[in-house]
Amino acid sequence: MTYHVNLLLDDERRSASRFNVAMVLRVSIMLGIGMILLVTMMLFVAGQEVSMKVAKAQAKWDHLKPQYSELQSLRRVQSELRASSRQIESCRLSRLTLGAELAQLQTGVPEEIQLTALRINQLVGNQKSGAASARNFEMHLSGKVSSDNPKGNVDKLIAYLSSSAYTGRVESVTVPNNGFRKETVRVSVTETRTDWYFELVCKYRPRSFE
Amino acid sequence: MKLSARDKQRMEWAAAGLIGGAAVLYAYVHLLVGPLMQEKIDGENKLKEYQEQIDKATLELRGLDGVKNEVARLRTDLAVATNRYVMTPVLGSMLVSVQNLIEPIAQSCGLQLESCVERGRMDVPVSKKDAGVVIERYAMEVTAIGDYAAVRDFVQSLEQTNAYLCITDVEILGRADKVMRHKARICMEWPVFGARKATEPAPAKTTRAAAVDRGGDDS
Repeated sequence: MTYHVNLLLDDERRSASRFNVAMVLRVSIMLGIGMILLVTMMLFVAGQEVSMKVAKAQAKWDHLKPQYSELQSLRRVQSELRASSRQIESCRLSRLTLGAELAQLQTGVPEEIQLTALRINQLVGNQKSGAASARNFEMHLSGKVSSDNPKGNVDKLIAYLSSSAYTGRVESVTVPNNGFRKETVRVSVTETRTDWYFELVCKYRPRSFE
Repeated sequence: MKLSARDKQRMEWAAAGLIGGAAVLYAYVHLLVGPLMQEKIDGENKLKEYQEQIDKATLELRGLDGVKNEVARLRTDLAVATNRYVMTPVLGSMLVSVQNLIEPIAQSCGLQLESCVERGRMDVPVSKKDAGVVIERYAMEVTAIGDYAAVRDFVQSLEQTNAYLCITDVEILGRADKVMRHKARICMEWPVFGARKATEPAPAKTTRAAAVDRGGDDS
């Protein structure tokens, strides 16, 4: 039978290991302090670096700012001038040169037709909702035909107004209700004459202001 | 298990150490790391902002010469258009100004003018936002006597005189008694300077209402 006698008190016990708790604690505290110092330094250096970069960027921006401000004010002037130009240009773009229209019409009216009235008028408005305003021109022609073939001559005039000479400008040519009629005129006591009267409406394509 | 007095003391020291350490760490994070991190983040944000501004400005500044050229061109074009084609009143009257211009043309075309009547001012129906110069349409009506060719020449000459003038209505009525002396009514719109600046918020209705009051036929 073997007896094991322990004469050490509990508080007199010492570890045989070289790494005791106190030492580990001391090292940990020192490492902790070191880490704290390192992190602090790293953060400080990073902050300084960023501050330097900001200062550099600010200097660059301060250098660019006057030019940029000049550009901005030029842009404002540009948009002001564009808006003003757009207004005045819209007067030119929207017009239909009626002088040319009158000249063009003169060359195409058949000899058998005598125009008694010509009316060209405009209406300013939108063709569709949301569309730009436009000038809508219409030409109303009234005349007299004195020949054997009145309908044929009026058709000739309609064909002329729908021909390539008017392509791109004229939208439609129509004879309104009761736009082609005959009237009998007494020339003498025994003699009468039949005159044919017609009306035409020539609608031009809208001339947009924009 | 019963702890010895020494162990108890150790445990107390350990607990105090832990609490103290935690307090120091907390104070360190909040008083030093936090502000430093915040400063860094703020700096980075500021840097990003500057960088974006610089990049944008650099990119846009490449077009500076183009903008300068366009502004110069627009200024010239607008000056030419307004000086040559926008009507200005004579003795405070636009009608006198227009009459002075059209009477010689009518005479040279063989058209006998009977009357010139003012039809008021109307808006140009395009956006006037940003516009420094406001243009309006000054409408007037002319009645005259002449043959078809005279009316045609008169209209053509007027249109050639001013590229921004719009002849809006032409009415030629044949007369049974004088075959070659038609009655003509010609309406026209001249570009004129608007009475207000674009920056002043005046509704378009005001001008239109004025046109209607003066007998304008804007539709």
